[in-house]
Amino acid sequence: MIGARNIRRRIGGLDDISLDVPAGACTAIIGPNGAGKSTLLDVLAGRSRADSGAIAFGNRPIADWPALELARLRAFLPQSLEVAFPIRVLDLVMLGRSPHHGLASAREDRAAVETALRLTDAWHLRDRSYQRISGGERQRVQLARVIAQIWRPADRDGEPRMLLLDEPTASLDPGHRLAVMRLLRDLTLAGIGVVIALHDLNDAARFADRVVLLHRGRIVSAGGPEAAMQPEVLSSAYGAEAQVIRMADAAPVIVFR
Amino acid sequence: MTESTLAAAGDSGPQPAAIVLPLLALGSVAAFLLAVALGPIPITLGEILAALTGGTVDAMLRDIILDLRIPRALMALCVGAVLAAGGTAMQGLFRNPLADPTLIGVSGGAALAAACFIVLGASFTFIPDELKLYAMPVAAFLGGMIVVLVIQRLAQRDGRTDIATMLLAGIAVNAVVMAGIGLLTFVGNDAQLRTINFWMLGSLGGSGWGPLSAVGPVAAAVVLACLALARVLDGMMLGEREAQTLGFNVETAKRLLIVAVAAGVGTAVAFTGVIVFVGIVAPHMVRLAIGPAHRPLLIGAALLGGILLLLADTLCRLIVAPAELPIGIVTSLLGAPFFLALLLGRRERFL
Repeated sequence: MIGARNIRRRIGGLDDISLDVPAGACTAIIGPNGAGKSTLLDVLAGRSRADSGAIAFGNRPIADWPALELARLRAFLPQSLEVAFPIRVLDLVMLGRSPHHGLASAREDRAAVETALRLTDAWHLRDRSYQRISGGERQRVQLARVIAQIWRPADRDGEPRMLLLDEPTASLDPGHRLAVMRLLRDLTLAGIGVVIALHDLNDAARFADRVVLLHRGRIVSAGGPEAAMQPEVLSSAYGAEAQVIRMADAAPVIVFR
Repeated sequence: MTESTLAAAGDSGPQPAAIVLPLLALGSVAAFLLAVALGPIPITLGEILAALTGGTVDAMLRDIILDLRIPRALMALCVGAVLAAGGTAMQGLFRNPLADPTLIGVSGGAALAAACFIVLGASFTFIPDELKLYAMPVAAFLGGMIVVLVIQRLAQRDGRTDIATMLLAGIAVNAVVMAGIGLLTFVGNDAQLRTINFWMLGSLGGSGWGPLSAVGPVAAAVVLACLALARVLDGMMLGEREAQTLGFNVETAKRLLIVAVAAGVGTAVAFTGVIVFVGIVAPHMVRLAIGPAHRPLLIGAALLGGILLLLADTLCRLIVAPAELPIGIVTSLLGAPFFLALLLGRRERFL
């Protein structure tokens, strides 16, 4: 769905990255701080340009997409969640519907917003001021915004959609963290491609279909969770001894010592 | 989809904007009538109506109403609207509730050009006398535009206008402009100094149908331009890059907004001098009342800006009648404490 070929970017330090992220699957990008995870997500989303190399979204170079058309098919959840002025949660999520202006009916927009807020367990916050809810609640509300952005009625066909998220679970409690990871997996079942930068390797092992390990701007390993997360590569990338404990009927557990 | 993305989200009763905007519209009409009625010579509502409809009314009163008070009141509405809409746009653009049009240097540039003209104007012998009346506004307008373009140029990086750099460049360039004005006041004689001072404090005393025919259409065009870009300003609340990710053409919107605000405020300042505070206070108050969605916010701020300026100007004409106080003194003196009270009273909403 998104294909990257020989991507280099000096700012953010991406070095010769080639990567395919499919629709309908969850791809986790892991790696130590400063490895280039956020930059890679930005470039894949078409928010930053690569110095060299090519990015394709679907069958077109990403730069050739009209901005609005692309915005209806790919959404991006950044790490920073600041909003300039006091705003009601419902209005904030409605901002996600901007690219559908003039195309979707008001009812469809409202349905998208309600669905997204319910999926992220934030519907009860809808009339609260965004500035007065907690960090974890903000993260769920912003997640609802990006889901609303690419939402379309289940009975309508269209081109595959992509959701790119930069550490969406960073400030969530364990219950909501698992709920969000399950939600992302459910979205892949609906055909949406999910690309997620993660620090929690256990979540990556458990929920991702594919894991990409970045280190100093290069892909060190990529593949299924077990194949991509071998103790040796993890140890050398993170600078701490990693142990991968295999479980009989569950995802492996990764422990650092 | 309905007109405004944000307004469409309402599911809990009527939107505050649906109440506040009609109230503000009524308020402008009331303030307008008040401004025409009050003055050294009081005028009744009946006399205003008679003058407007061609009924029987004293000839001198008719002249005061039609040639002095009405154009002046309309001028106050237009200038207030353009300052407030410009302030709203700048606050949205800079994502900062304290931003106003002075930040992009338009007032400073206009003031420097006006000061130049006041002090050195006598030596501009190439300008025919009959054009001198309009030469100063034109100089002020050009001065404002030039400074804005310089600041915008300084903030260009790889074809993008960097908003944070623009803020800092604006502060630096404004300092240079202020130094220039200081130098001119140092060089100027007492009468020129007084004129510069009055100009820096603003006044609607120079109003009339002539200036109004320049300010009115520009003000309308600028408010409409800002309204056309309201949805981009909504998106900008999330940040420039998020607005871009939502599919908005942020670069074009930024340039259009800066040029529109510079042209609008430049024109207003050229005829009235520098009028502070309306551009910050009006958007702020309306945002408190109806929330941050820019389409209703721009309309409400423009209306409130007009009302505030009308009331301030009426006070200016009354307090020391038959003389007039510079309007900047009134807008600051009344605006600042009111603004502070609002800030302290609603502190929790600024979190």
